Amino acid sequence: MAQAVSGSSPAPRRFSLSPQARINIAGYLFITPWIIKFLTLNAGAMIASFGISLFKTDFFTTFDFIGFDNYTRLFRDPLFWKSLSVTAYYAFGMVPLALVFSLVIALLLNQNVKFQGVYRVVYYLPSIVSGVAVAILWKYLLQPRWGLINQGLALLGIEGPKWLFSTTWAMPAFILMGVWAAGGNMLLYLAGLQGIPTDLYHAASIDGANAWHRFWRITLPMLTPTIYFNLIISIIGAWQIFTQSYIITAGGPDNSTLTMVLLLYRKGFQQFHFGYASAIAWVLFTIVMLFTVLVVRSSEAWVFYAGEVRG
Amino acid sequence: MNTKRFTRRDFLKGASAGAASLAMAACIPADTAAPASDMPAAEGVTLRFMSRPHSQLAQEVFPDIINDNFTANTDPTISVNVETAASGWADKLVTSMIAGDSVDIFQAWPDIFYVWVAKDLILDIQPYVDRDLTQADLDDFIEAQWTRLRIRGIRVGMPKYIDVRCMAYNKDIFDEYGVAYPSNFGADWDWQEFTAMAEALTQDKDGDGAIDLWGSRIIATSSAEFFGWLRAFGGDYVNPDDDTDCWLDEPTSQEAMNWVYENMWVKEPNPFIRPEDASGTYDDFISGRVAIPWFNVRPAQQAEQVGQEINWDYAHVPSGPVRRNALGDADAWSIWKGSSHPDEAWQFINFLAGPVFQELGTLRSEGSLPIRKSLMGKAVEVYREEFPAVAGQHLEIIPEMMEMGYLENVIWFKDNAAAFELIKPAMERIFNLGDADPSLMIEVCAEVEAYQASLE
Repeated sequence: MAQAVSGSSPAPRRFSLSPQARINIAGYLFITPWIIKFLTLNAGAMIASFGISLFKTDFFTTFDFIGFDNYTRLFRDPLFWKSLSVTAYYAFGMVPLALVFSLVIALLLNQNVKFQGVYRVVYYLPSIVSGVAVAILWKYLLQPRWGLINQGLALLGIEGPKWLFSTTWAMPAFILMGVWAAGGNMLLYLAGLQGIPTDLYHAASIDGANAWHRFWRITLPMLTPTIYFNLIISIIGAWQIFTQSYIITAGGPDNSTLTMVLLLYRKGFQQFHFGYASAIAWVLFTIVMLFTVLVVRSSEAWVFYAGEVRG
Repeated sequence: MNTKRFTRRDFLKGASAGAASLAMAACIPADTAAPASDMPAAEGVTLRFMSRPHSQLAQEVFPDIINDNFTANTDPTISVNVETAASGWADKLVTSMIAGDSVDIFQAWPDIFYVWVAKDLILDIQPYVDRDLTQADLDDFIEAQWTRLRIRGIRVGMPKYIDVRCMAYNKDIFDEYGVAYPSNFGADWDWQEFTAMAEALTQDKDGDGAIDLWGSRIIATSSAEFFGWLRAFGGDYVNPDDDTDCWLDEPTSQEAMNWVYENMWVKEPNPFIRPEDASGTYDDFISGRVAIPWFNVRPAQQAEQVGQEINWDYAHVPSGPVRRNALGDADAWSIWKGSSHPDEAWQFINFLAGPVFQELGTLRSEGSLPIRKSLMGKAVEVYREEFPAVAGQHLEIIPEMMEMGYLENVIWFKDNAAAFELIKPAMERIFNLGDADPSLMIEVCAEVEAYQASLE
């Protein structure tokens, strides 16, 4: 028997994966469709657009290689700097306000009240209405003399600003619109709130924590992954603001709502300076990437994952 | 929406039999000496036609009108695939042209044509026009429109419909304040009479110290709107003989701009409503906030949106110190220069501009103004018949405008988009914000001219 065993070929080694490797492979398989889409539709186009940014081209009559001239021209163009400051104003104004507003609404909607579902739908609706419809609606709401907002302010004895007819107030009006449409953030916060174990609140209550302590010591830390996600998505969305300025003000008055994407659109599709427009796109991408990296880097300091052990 | 006015069934019944002979007469080439095309006339050609219908009815019936009256009666070898334009169509069209996969035929208007011709995207149809159209055909087009479809040395397309500017006036307000209506529907009034009327009709109706009824409304930051009154004063947007020369700094243009600026921002009370007090043209008109707005003649749309909410009528634009002038916009159907079927595409756009499609498609199904003088009388009849809400209005203003011959179109800068990028913010400061006067345009024009002159 022993001979027979020793004379037979060695038993094949069973190939086995560690549980972690299996999880990793499953993860990659799940994101494969996205990776294929990104590589074929996005990455190729991005690389091409960088190439185009090195040319003076309208795609039809001219295709001259000019190196980084589009970038140097860009930094000498007062309209570019104007659009950069306008977009930054919007991003720095809208993102924090929208994050706080949507969190407050989510906290309120997380209470056990009658018609909870109705309220949730009402607050979420703005984020699924078409950008054009929202823009037209707000144009009427913000009309200085007859619009609902200033009429409401008048009832409180406040003379409302001229909103879209003022270089000072046009961008705050856009920020207001952005905050109003923060239903997407709210929904994620709600999901995050639902995921916080109630045991934590019970334990804290037994230990004598009041509502503020429970919010500050449990809710907020446990929501930081959601805040982190909302922050990144909001930053990316805010820097890409286009529809409002395109539909409502066309960049006016006096370029006070000229955003970077609107300038990019004008240079590309209205003036046929596609190389220049691509350069704007790359500067915008770099800015968004910079802020995203900053947030990601800083996240270790303020994002708390339940169950995570830090060394 | 007047749903009774015309059904698809009615439409098709009317469209078929009688149209055939007209279609043949309008669309068959006069002789066989065709302009050379790279492609031989092929059997079974399918044209891609990007349609931008102005009504749901038009969207539904265009394919049948084309099938019954073009494909069946003109050239059975040509079929037409109607592709309804999506939002952002112009950008998508440019992209598809870059990709070499554009529709053969599309609709656009002069400021688009002006740029696209420079980029060599549009087929010059002048050789086809010279070959196929008779003098009688040419005489039937509205001169202002036909002239403006020749851009940068080529004929860019066949006219689609005509969009014309006029005034409207609220008779109830005129009656209330004892002001006589514009005599002869404005055919006799001038800018001074118009201004005096606007002043008389500017009122604080509720006595709260704030004006709530204004004489008129003028949109001053769109070149399609402001060029009309610039020309009425002898000025213009661009020098007609030099598309790099900004004329907004000319004394005549400055006089025109000052007239609007003063009536909007200087006079107390201001007879022309300021943009910050205005809503939409129809809103302001129906709600009785503006007595004599700058308007357009779109009876189908106005039957729906203004209708009989108020007692109103159309009027001609007032003549200025130099002449009378208003927009006669030249939308047209054009052929992509990269089309593989230019000859067939020409036959098709000639059909679209012909009397059959102009009546069935443009007038009856879209409710738009046709581009043929011979159809203007018919247009008045059709509007009265199909749109009872405007049957009592002075629709005869349509043929009158054609006869009076004051319709024109804008002339553009060499690179109009770049010019307007400088001009628009300044116009907004003058007319929308009121924090600068028209002399600001003198320095802006210098900037515009410097850039335009630098272009190759």
